[in-house]
Amino acid sequence: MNSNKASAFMVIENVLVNLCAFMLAAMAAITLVAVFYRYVLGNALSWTEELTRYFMIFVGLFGTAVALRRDEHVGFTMIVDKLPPLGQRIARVVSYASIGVFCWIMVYDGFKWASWTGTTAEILPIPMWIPCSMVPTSGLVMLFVVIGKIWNELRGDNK
Amino acid sequence: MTAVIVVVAFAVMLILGTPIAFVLGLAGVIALIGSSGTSLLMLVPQQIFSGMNSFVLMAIPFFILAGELMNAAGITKKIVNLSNALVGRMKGGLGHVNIVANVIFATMSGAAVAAVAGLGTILIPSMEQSGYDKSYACALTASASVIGPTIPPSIPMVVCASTAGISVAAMFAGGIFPGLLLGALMMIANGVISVRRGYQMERQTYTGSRSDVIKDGIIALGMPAIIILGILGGVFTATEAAAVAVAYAVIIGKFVFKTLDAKVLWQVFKSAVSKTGVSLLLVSMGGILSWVMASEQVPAKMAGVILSVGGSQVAFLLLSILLLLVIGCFMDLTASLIMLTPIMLPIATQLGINPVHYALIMVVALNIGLITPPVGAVLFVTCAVAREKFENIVREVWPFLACQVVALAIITFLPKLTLAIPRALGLL
Repeated sequence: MNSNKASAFMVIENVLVNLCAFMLAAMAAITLVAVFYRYVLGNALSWTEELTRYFMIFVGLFGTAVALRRDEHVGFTMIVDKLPPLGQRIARVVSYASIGVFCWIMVYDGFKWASWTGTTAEILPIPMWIPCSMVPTSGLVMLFVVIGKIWNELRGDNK
Repeated sequence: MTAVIVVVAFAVMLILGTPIAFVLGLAGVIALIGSSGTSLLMLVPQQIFSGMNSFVLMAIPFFILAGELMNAAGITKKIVNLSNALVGRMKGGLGHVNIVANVIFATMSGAAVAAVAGLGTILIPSMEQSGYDKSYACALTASASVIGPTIPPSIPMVVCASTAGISVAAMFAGGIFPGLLLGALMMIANGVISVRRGYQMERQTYTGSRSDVIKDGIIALGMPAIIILGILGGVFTATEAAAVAVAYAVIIGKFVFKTLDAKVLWQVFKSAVSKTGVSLLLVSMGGILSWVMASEQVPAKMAGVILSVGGSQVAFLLLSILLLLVIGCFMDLTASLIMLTPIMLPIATQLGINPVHYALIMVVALNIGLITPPVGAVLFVTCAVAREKFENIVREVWPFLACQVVALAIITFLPKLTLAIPRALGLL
């Protein structure tokens, strides 16, 4: 049961990392194409900047979820590290719970916001709610990650 | 009342070890609820989105990638060889090599951590073999890596410039002098310490022919030439130059040095993902808090207080340096920049300080925090890279910290010198 749950997280992490790595490579490639068009062909492309920006938001948001899963976000742990193990665990649970509250706002108010934006994108022929819904979607993934973390802390294993 | 709750909640979450990005976001949420209930919470997702929705910020993932690619492609090793050919024969040779290699590495990478990971793994063991104390080698490597985010390109400068709405190119040009000054002061310190302790008094030899070393070095130096000349000459934006740097590293890694294959390359892109997430999250969360602060007119009120006590430029600069150094000891570099820039920069501008000058002071001062105990990010990475105890490195880091504070003082109080390069290039 536990190994199934752990592997579900692993699968999500793997998919997200590969997807984001692809987006990063695409961002660099598209930016280079834009430079090439501007200088070599003398014909600046209009759509590249907006598209790469949305790709970056994707990497930023889902990369955040990956970093959360790996506990890579920087925090000030000097004081917590001095606590006994139980105190450390309580601190971690409280801190994951507050991240969870934030993720919930990203999900709830994010969906409200995304469905409320009626405009279309600046140049790309897509409605704005598509890029906007990256915020609540990534919030949902992070909420899932955080609940898993709290569950593990309460059960007492650190994996 | 709301302000008190925000400050208390901020402090409690920080002490509990909650990641700083989320602390910033939650403090913004509490302030929003305090001022207008839950009706405005839609601003949170909106700010997260618009905080990341910036072409300038895209330079950050690209420079992260370029730094990692240089390490993976072995370009870092070529830089060490070149530095060795340049200064390896001086007394305390490898120490100087370390500093010069960091200056060269700094022209390609925008973060100190990549420099420690790349140069530290090569140079700390070889310094140790040549008779340097390990703790000294670690302290020198950590301190020299701070040149990385001072000399362009620089991730903290991109963050600061985009937060403050000033020109990235002007800040980059302004970073050249402080970076070289840091390098020169640290070389003097290393020379003095090496002579006193008798480190490496004999002439250093290096492997390989001199012409090969120089040829490889010149190929490696093509990258900074593209980045710096491209940005300062107005050929590309910082973001485009960063993308070109990524391509350059991939091409010479794959075809010239033949060190990168598809598998390694993909690994590098994958490892940049979570680093990108961490940096961009900080930037966008800081956006929430600074939006709230701006709507409560916090910067204007603080400026009013400082101006009413008759704050002069000099007093304000001294106060700023002190504040930045103390905050730098405890807080993450990017987070501090995100929080402090919108408060302090407008005050500085009102006092008649050039915004680019002040932004440079902020970056250099907060960079020093990377190597100060108790929370110096670069010190921790050095510990991990070299498997050396934190306390031992801290014991040896003081002379270099002193150099950096001296450099900071020169940069702060001689604005003509600091701003000479951006002025000459017509960027101010």
